[in-house]
Amino acid sequence: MSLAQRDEERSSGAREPARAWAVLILVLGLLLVTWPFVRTPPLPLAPAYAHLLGAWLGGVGALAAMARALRARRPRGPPDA
Amino acid sequence: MREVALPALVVTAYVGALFAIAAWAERREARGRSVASNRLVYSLALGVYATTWTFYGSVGFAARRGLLFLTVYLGPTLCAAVWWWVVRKLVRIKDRYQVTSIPDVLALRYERSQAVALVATGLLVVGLVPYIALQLKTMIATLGLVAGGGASLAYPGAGKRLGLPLLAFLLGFTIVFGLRRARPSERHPGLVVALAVESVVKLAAFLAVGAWFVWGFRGGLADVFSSAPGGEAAPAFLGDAGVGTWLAHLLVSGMAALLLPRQFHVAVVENASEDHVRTAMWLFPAYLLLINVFVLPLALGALAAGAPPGGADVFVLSLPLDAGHPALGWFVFLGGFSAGTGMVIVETTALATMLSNHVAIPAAEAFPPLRWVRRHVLHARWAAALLVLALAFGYERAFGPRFGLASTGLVSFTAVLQLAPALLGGLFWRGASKAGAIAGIVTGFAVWAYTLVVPVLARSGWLPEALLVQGPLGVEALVPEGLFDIHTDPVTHAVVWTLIANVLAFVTVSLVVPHGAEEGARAERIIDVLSAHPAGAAIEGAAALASAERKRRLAVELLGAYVPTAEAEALADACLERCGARPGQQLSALQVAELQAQVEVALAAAIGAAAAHAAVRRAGLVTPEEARAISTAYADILTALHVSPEELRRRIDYSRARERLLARDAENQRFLAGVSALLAGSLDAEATARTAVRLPLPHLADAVLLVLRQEGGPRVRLAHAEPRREEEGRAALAAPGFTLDRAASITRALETGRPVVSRPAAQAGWPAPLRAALPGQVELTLPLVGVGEPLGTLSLFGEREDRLSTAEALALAEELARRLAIALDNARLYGEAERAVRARDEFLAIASHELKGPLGPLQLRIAMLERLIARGELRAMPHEKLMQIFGGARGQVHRLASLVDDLLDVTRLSTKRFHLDVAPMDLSAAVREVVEQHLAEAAAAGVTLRVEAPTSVVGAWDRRRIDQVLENLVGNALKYAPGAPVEVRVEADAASARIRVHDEGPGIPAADQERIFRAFERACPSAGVGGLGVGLYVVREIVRAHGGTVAVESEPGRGSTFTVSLPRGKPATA
Repeated sequence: MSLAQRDEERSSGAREPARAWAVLILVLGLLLVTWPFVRTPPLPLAPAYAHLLGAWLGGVGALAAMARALRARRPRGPPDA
Repeated sequence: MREVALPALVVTAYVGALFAIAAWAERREARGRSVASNRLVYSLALGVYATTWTFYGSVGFAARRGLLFLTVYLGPTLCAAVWWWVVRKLVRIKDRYQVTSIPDVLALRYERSQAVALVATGLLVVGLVPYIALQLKTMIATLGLVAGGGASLAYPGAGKRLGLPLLAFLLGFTIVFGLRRARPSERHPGLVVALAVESVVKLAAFLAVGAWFVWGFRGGLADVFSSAPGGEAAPAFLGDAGVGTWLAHLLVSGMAALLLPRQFHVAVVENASEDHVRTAMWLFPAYLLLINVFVLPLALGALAAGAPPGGADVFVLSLPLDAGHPALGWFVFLGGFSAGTGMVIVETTALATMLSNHVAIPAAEAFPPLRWVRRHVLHARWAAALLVLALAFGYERAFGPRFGLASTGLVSFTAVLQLAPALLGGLFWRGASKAGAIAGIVTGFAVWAYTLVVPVLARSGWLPEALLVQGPLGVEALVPEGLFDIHTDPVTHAVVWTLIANVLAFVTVSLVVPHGAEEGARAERIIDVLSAHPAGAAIEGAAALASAERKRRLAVELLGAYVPTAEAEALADACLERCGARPGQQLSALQVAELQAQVEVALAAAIGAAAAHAAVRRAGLVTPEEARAISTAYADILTALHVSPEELRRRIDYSRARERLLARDAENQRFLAGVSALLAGSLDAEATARTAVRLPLPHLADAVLLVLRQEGGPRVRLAHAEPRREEEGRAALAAPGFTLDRAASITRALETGRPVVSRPAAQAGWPAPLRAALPGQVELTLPLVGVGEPLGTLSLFGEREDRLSTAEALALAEELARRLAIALDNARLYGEAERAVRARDEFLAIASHELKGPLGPLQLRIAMLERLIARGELRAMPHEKLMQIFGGARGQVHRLASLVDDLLDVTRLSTKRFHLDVAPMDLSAAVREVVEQHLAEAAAAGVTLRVEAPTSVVGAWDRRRIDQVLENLVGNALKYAPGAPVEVRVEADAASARIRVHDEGPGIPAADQERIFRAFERACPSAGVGGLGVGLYVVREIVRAHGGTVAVESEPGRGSTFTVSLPRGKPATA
């Protein structure tokens, strides 16, 4: 097995939980952005807009955290400076 | 024409600036210092998703349909969560198979079928021409508005005057930026950087107009929302649509962000590193969030201010212009212009490439009269770009005035959605077949045309409008916008029906007409592309089948039909090299098969996967006999191994991977052996450093910086693979004030003793001129750890990000650094040993001379006494004379004893057999006594000896040793500063006492100030001053044993001051 293969396997091992996070972000995000339109009574326009922007910002944060976690682990040595 | 002169001037200046930026990026790329290969630039370039529809149409959409506009941006945000698995896979496929578009990927996956590529291309062209038309419409309308908006410039009339010049301008821009080369798989760094800049401009413009409107024009967000229109005038919450519409729009937009040709082009074809996808998956949604923050406030505020809802699509521009802010208006216009041009250029580039690869080239292959087109691939693309733009302009003239931005955009989004089942199914479902893909795309396309295009044609008078009410042949259940009596908004309706039809056809036909065994293997390679590895050189040792020269000729002939001959030759050589073949060699069966695959991949970069496959098959690169031999070779292997084809493939992959690993390991071992041989060639530190800095080039790095710590500041050496840049780097090193003290990676490596990988190499603290001369993609700094303190650092720099960041490269670099540190340490120790031998020889010479000195007078006196005794004159000798002879002899014996005592002291000190007899004593008294003992000697040397000391300084010290210290210091001052005053000063505080001995002698150079404290070293060996050179060594060791310190301050010509500090408490015994 080549070093590249070993790296790939090691990083793909680390990425298994990331798939679960991706699905979680997708489902939770979908629920969050759909909620203003299914609740009764419906939210007024301005609060609904604020809710959607907030959920959007949260989604971006979650994606950034996931992207950080996806960074391939280095076998040794320090993290990126 | 005068009214359009200013807009033309502004647009020309702006485009000129973009050209300059793109040219600069291309130059940087050519020099190996890429700007485009940057995760931030990549993410910003993806902002090409935000077109004029976003810039102008979103506000119009929000004014009419409330929050529904957000789906266009929330959809991509949600789907970005799976980009790491989808986009990365597409990037890997692009890197391996040189695909250039979605039709190319589909063709590659589905039996390299030209039919699949043709169907997908047709769908994209038909679906996206209205979308490009939408951009043209907006650009024409806003140009007219910004030019004054007079009657002749009002939309749609403005199109007659502005349309054709705009079209010509966009065509030129597209050719220069995207269609300059025949190999579309090559990246366009200039285009990517220009798109990133345009993204920044449109974002800044939109935020500027939003902030101005909310806080400059209105009284803040609260004011905007509180005064929002109510009742009939208010925009509906979701434009009278339900949550189903919301979800359908999210889905269609999320898919479009990946499937639109321009998005695929930027995200996949222009991708420089898979890792950039990781950044884009959050930065791109963040960009979309920012550009939408002010959309609803602008729509609500404008409606509340009485702006006509009919003009909502240009509120963003009309608001600042109507309010008397022309500068802001121009800025907004440039933002919108950026959004439009970016989209048109990339979309047209992508569509033109598709038309050329999947329509023009196959047509040229099929019809002999069109063969000449093969030699003019580039011109075919230019013609295709002209065709696309002309179609878009025609569409805009025919339908533009009747439809809003949002409705047109969503129609196009729904069209490209039809590629999603075939693409995603092809990437993740092994059972997906070519027939299923064609069935799915064609069915979805047909339903899309029926549900979305037919109503447009009917409303435009091209078809009977009754069709929309009564249905075809009076069947109401088949009404285009209400199939089977399901009525919702047209886009949701189309999304639901097209997806149902598309997926059903795709899955059913794939199950009924599965792919063959050969294509199954290809499908597996595509699906497993993230874990599989590219085929490497074939295993050697197999029987020869064909001549490499002959195959090269055939490959050049085939490639030369599509690209210039020189390029064809280079491509053929590269293909042969990848097969492990050398000129003049014979190829094995497996190598011939590999060569065919490599040529196909190379050709796919120019004309697409399907056309390349067909061309390679036709060219006869592999003869029928050779094909049989290849089959036999594989069959033999299978028979011998008793394995299935899948198992065989796995084993071959394993063998190749193992072979590559072994070859690489062997190469690394050869490299390290060479390193050791070179380093062993010299024990001189300077020569070792000179050799060491060049060792990693080019095997491991593109540039090297060696920093060695030494007294008086670090010594820095630089080597670069390019001589010119090495010269630039050396000039930076020689610049006044140059320092690496603040270089973060070096400091960190020295502090932690571990390697530091920086990616990209933009570490803080590096001097800018030096940084400019070094490769900027990756830096690896390793500490050089010898015996004791680190000797320095070795910094390696790579042009490619993966050059130094792999585990293998890191291990090799660490081994190199370890061997280098050992070599440098050896050189240092050898230098010290040499110095020690020199000092010993010098000491023997001095000691012999010094010991011989007293022996001469002693022998003389003994001989005199012998003579007196022999002559019987001893008794007659006067008593005083005899005492003088004996006194002289005793003095010489005393001097000999003193020299021997010094040597014994040195021995005791160096072997740590040195004990202090500590007791309370008065330092002032000791100083005065020693000075008094030297008064006669001082007078003889013409020295004024002065003491300044408090009455009493009591501490716990060894009196005999302190006397020794004082005698040495005062004795040295008298020896080295004859005829000059010498001052001995005693100072004390509660914790310590200090003795300062100052003379006005010749002084000691800074370079010698450390050396004189070593054993057998003297300040001026040739100054005619006697002594063994152990005095200051004894002083230092005695003072250290007392827990104190000794230091010297001196400058040549300004005398010297020796300062001894002694703690007053009880010291540790040495």
